[in-house]
Amino acid sequence: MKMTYDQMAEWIEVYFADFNKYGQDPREIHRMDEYFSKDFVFNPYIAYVGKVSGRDEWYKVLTSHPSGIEVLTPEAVIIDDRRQEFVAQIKTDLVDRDTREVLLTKRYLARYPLVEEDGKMKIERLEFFWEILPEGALEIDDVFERDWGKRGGPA
Amino acid sequence: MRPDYEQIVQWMKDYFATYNLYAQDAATVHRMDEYFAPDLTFMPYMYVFGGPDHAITSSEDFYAMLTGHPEDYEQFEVLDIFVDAERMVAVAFLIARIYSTKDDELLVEKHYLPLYELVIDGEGKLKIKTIRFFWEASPPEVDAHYSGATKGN
Repeated sequence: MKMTYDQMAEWIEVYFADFNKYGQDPREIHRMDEYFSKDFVFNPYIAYVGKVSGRDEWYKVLTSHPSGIEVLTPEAVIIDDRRQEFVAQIKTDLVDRDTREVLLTKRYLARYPLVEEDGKMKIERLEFFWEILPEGALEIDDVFERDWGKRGGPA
Repeated sequence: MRPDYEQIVQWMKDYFATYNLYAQDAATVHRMDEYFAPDLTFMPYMYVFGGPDHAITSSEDFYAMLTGHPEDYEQFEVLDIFVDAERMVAVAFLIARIYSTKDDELLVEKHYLPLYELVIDGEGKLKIKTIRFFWEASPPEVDAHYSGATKGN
């Protein structure tokens, strides 16, 4: 069922809060079924970062870096209720799980088209752009690879 | 009077068409005054343009950047436009193609996702006040070439 502008605004606020609570914890990740459609696609416009097809594959990526946790803060949200889409400029703080130190901060701009599934609106795709830091700066993958190095990749 | 959803979508389409025709020619760039507030802020979220802490803060400085690479030119193909009429913000999903001015050879192609914060000026006209600019992260050597970083400008 399509959402109104105000319903979308509330849904988006709760989505980001739930992502921060549950979106990177393998014990809680399926709480995000409320937001991601089964056929969800992550489509990054980033060289050498691959597309991810399917919610379960996406969850593998989200839970693949337990030592570095992304904390997302939406700084600007653009709600297009006619198209049932939103765009968010997000500040992400990448935090070390053990020390709680913020390892790096960068911005994302992401587009989220929604789709109806089982009577609820869910995220169909994530079209993902990110801030490009100078060469040599600590990057998100540098932190995630602390975990990926043990298994040879994100999934 | 505040524009509605359809008016903003059409205005953005007109903006991109005008940009493609006039924005990168020093002789015609001031046609873009129709679209940019004089105190336009351009925030680039990529290091090759200095990053968001080194924003451009006037339309004149933005014009200097747009017309500062006469050896090539950029054309936008608009794939989608998203509008939040309540907040007066639009986002465009674009393919940008860079061509050589000399022979129109396609040099680079990449996706952009710029965000446009809009205002109504003192004459009641819609203007772009802020551009938050994100582009596809190509391999670093491509971005360096694309931005003119390897050409000394």
